[in-house]
Amino acid sequence: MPVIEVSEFHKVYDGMAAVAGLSFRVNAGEILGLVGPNGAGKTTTMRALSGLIPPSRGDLSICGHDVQREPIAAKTRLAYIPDDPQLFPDLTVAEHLAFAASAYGISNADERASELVEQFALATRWGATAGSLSRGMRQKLAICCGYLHEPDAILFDEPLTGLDPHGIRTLKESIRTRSRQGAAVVISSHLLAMVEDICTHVLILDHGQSRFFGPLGELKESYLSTEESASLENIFFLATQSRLQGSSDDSSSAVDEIRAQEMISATRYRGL
Amino acid sequence: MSSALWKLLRFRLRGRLRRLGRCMSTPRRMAMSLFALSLAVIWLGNAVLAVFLRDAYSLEDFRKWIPICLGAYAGWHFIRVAWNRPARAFEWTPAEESLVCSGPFSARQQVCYRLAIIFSAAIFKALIASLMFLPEQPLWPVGFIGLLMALGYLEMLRVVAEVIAAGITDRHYRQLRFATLTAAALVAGIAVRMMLRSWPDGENGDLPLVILLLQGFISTLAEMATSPVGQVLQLPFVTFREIIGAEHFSLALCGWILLGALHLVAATWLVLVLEQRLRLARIADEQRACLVDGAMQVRRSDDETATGGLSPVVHWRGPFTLAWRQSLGARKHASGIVLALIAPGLLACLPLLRRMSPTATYYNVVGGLAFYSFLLLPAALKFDFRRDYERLLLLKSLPVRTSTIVLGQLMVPVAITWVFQLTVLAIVELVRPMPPLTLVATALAFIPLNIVIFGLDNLLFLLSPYRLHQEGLEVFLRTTLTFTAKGLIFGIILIAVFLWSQVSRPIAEQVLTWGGVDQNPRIVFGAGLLWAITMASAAVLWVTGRAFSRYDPSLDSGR
Repeated sequence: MPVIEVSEFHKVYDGMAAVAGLSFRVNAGEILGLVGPNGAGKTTTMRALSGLIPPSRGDLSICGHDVQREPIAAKTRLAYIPDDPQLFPDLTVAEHLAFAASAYGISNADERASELVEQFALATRWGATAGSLSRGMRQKLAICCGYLHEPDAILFDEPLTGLDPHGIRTLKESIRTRSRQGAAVVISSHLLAMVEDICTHVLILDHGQSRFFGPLGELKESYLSTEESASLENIFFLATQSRLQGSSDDSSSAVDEIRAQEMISATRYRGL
Repeated sequence: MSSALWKLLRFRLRGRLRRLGRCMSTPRRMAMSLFALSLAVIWLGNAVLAVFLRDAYSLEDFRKWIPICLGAYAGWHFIRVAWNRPARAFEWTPAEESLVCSGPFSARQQVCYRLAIIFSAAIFKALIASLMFLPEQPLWPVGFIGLLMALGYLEMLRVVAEVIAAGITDRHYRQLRFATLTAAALVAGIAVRMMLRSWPDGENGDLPLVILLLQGFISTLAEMATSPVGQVLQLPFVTFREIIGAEHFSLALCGWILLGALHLVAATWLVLVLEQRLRLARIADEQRACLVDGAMQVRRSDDETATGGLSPVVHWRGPFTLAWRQSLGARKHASGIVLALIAPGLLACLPLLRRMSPTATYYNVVGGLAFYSFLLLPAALKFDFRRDYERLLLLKSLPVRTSTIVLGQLMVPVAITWVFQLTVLAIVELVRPMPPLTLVATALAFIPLNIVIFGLDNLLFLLSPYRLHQEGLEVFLRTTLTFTAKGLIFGIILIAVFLWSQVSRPIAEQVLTWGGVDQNPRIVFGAGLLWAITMASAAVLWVTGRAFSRYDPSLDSGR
């Protein structure tokens, strides 16, 4: 059973679809990179998965629990770390962790919290209020709060924003570790090199629709025949620029390539 | 409610207390804290003194007015919501959205958390109210419990109104607005008719018109409350009358308390049910529309049509660009602004109903206009720094001088207030014509006065910034202290004006003695007043600019 499952997800704002018919699955141990240009629908998808906004159509589930129908069961298995961590400025690091522990009903919270603050270099700021922390530290605290209940599904929205090099390395390692331990991770990011570095699967989203979805290796393999080197960056531009350029001659070969890829993706969806 | 959310409430209270403890950490904070403390002493001292010095109302009167006041307050909430639709049923701070809304809590638990915050403010309000009505309450602790229940019940009714207004469809909201406002206009019409019928003929002619109107309004309200409709409307609040005005402990009192608690529980239950139903209905509507609308558009960059260039505002310079941005916000709330201006407009025009000389009428109107602008309009026209809590840093990063930013930020509320004042002056001119020079001088004097009025509010905000649409104890305290501070400032201004009026005649005589120029004391008085207001506005702008340039988000707003 997939840990994260999105099926025919639509989200409409004022008659305009921010996301239209998106389907994908993330199994235990997989890390999915959600990439796409600004306004592609990445954050909308993340927010819908975390239960913050209801879908206009379609089903979203975490560990088999529908996010709308069984929100508590779904959210208990999930951690959502937004791009701009919003914390209570008057609460200390320890209080944030205590609240998270209480919310998720964690038994050995002290031990886990100590490990996490140690891992993310927050141990010296245990009694500091969130308002006095730097942006990167707040991001680390949000990650600690998210990791505390050892979620089965983790959603990261631009996770590296504001982190120092040590923090980036720690976070990457922790994502890999959790993935190895069986967590399903979704990372929304514009940092394609990072996505290429740690993700096992990629979903390219453009104008609310999926352009590619599949294992990173397969995507690269399918591009080996083209003249361009099959980096995620090149694939991304081929997938998204064609929409902007329409049917101009110089991009026609790229468009054909993408259509072929879309057929591959569609075939894969049918198999879902 | 989840135990984790109770824990969060406890942590937040502790966090606030910690912040209070830090309020002496810097000289600036210390000054602000001492200022707030002195205001609190003045405000509470005044309230406490009033309790001991005034004559107690009869228990019969006290009991009669409890359900009337509660009913009127509830009615006001419904009218306000019908006029100005809230965007959302509940306002969440970004932190709450991030940690509470996406946490493992049901929607019901989240609403309970929000209601707990709202109710916490009611505890403090009930404490103050029970203190103020100490002479009238035969059993103080029971009176406090009754007031707490009544105020909590009122808050729940307010939330009910807001949940309904935010949750229903646009068409249904328009119908609700029409029905509510028509009913309110009908009641107001009946009240005015009744008041005019029983208007005193001459025996109270020496009293100011405001007092006469207030007396008329109160007696009309009491009369209306005795009508069958009035009795029915009071019914939901009768229970609280029995608790607050209870004379001794009895089994019946226990029953009333139980009934009061049931009222509160029922109102809370109504909030929860309505919120759930309307939320699910909205989701279902959205899903239905998504299924039905086969031609639903997928957003594309090429769908977005060009608008034919930027607004002409790009050619503007200085404070006008910032003012333009604020004016967009004001335009969106135009109906709310009109509503807010009706009351001060009517109150300022009251002297027109009295038989006085045109000059006396004119100065009465101008004085009233200044007073009501000072007291009521800053809360209604927050199209300045107060709307930009989240954007203060962005404003600071602009390559614009501080004075320009301050001017630009204050321009819209000052301009709206000025247009409102000109409208009232135009009405006065139609009814009791005055020399054009007097009118022009008054109109000009209102500009710096408005700068002082809004500058002071913005200064207080910049010294201790806060997010709009907050709820809870902190907002109540802030509002109360701000009102106290403004009352004090107005008192000081009145004393200064009085003193100046006393010395302007000798000054005019001195001018005659020294320069041989026959000077009218009124001109000396007016010119001095204009000069003082202008200087005060310049000073307020300067201090506001200083406060803005010294704003530090990590110190002042914990970000």
